[in-house]
Amino acid sequence: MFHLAIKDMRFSKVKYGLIAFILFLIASLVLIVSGLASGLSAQNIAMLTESEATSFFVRSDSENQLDQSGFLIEDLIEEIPTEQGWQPLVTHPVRFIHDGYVNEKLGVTMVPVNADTLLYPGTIEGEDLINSSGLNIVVDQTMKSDGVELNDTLYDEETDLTFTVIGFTENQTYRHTPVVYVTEEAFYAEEISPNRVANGLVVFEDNTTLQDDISNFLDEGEWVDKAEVIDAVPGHSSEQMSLNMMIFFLIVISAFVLAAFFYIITIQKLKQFGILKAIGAKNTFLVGTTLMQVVILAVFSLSLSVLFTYSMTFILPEGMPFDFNLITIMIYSLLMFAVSLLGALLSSRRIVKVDPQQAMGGTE
Amino acid sequence: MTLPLEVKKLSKRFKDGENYIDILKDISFSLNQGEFVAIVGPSGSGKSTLLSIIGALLTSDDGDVLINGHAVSKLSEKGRSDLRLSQMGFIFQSAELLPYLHAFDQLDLVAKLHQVDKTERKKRAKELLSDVGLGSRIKHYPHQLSGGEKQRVAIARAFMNDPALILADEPTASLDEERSHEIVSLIKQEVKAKNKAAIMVTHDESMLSYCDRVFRMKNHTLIEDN
Ligand SMILES: Nc1ncnc2c1ncn2[C@@H]1O[C@H](COP(=O)(O)OP(=O)(O)O)[C@@H](O)[C@H]1O
Ligand SMILES: [Mg+2]
Repeated sequence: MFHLAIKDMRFSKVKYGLIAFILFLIASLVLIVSGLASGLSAQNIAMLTESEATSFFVRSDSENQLDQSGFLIEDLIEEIPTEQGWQPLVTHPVRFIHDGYVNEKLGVTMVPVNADTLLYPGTIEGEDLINSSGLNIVVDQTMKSDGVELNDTLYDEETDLTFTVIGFTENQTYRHTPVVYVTEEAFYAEEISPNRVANGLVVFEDNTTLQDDISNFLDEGEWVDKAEVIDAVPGHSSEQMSLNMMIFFLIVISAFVLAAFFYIITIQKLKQFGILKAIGAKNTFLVGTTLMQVVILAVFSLSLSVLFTYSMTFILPEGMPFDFNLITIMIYSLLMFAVSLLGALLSSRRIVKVDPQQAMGGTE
Repeated sequence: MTLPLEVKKLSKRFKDGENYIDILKDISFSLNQGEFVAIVGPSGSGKSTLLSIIGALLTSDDGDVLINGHAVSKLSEKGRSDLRLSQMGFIFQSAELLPYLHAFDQLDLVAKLHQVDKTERKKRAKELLSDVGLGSRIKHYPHQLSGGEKQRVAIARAFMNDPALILADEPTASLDEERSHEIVSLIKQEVKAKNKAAIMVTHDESMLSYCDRVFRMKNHTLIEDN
């Protein structure tokens, strides 16, 4: 079966090469779009997906959007100290000037944290916030593609403050901007914000008594799951939906294109199948050989497109939101593989129906 | 001794609109080993239909075909397929080779389907190809061979699984006269050398001299020349 499949394909190189190439193109497109989808998604919500928080307290009228939610928490902290297991989450947009490039401001999300709590993710490079005081910041490593290095200073025109980058963290982006961690002491001491405020409150394990106490103290708010907060991040759902829609249609298109190609090739070979059946080949052998060809084609093309997509991570400019996620890539590759087989299976019916008697002349 | 082929009271009709029309009526004959017979008759007289039934490609309505004493009508579709593979050698009007296999692989394939082991396959294919005068072209693809050469490959392929019966349906129809004589005498040579039974359908009277017996299709039945 295998040898016959290969010999046939080698003989009709152009025909099979063309199908392989089309499958490669469509599969690459699917994989790249899925890479963009997960890259964009990460840029928008990575801080939340990576967060240890399980539930968020947000204003009831905020539609679960952190940026539409806000509380004054001065009194709350006195009444229910954070030691009981909650933390205030502040997402404060800042536009930094780096190295005096006034025209190219870097948009970031500043998050003040108590570095001893789970709200703070730690560093992968440089110094930790825990040991620092003053206007030191730990920033997401995507800022490296903007040219930010350790010990660089970032200036905020609005508050006239200059921050020093002491460390890098990873997977901390929010609303397409890198997250910048600063200590609460620095944030409030420098009076960036005159009052203790929070966009939302978080807990790191569900605790009904604590959560009820907080809801009772601060009316106007409610507890929601992390997933609901993520879904409500502006742009996230619509972005993902349109990209997933694209992937879905690409896969449907490839199903039809492949099925049509395999069908045409099968039709062209019906006479050969008749002859082979006449001299004693079984349906299982003929269908098996045809499916084998599809498997060979699909494995070849899909491997190439996985490699190609992987090489994209090097070719695409660094700031481009592109995420080569092996699991997603594997899922989509398997899906494309199944779709190819399904397309071929459709024409297998024609092979089974061929009457071997047509090989004998004179019965037109 | 069992005969390679016995045809017993064979009948076949086809549906034509509302009515059935008889194509074959009550045909009986048998062949001995090493016998090469011809069937002649006008176009549309049912020669290919008869050959298809004998070759287990088509079922009869009445009567039976016995190959080495085994009744074809009792076989399932898979059984008929196995019978064709092991006991029938087909030679079609135009060689009907697979375009993507060279001469050696054309033969190798049918033996492979029959699960013959590799060294045996190789030996048989080489021998047969040199028998039909293609010893030096075993790696040639169909598009690199002339019409006559392709038909030689087809003849060699028909003998590959050491069948009981060779069935040739107008094997010279697409060849010129000189080539036709070469091909038919080659079939005869192989049939005699390997002691097989063979039937050739033809409408070229000049080919009949190669055959041991001649049957004519007349009024839906076979009549043997004396
Ligand atoms: N499957 C079929 N259905 C209906 N009629 C058929 C079928 N096969 C053959 N025939 C008819 O049977 C007759 C004999 O055909 P065939 O055996 O091919 O003749 P020959 O080979 O002698 O030219 C023709 O009239 C043909 O039209
Ligand atoms: Mg005919």
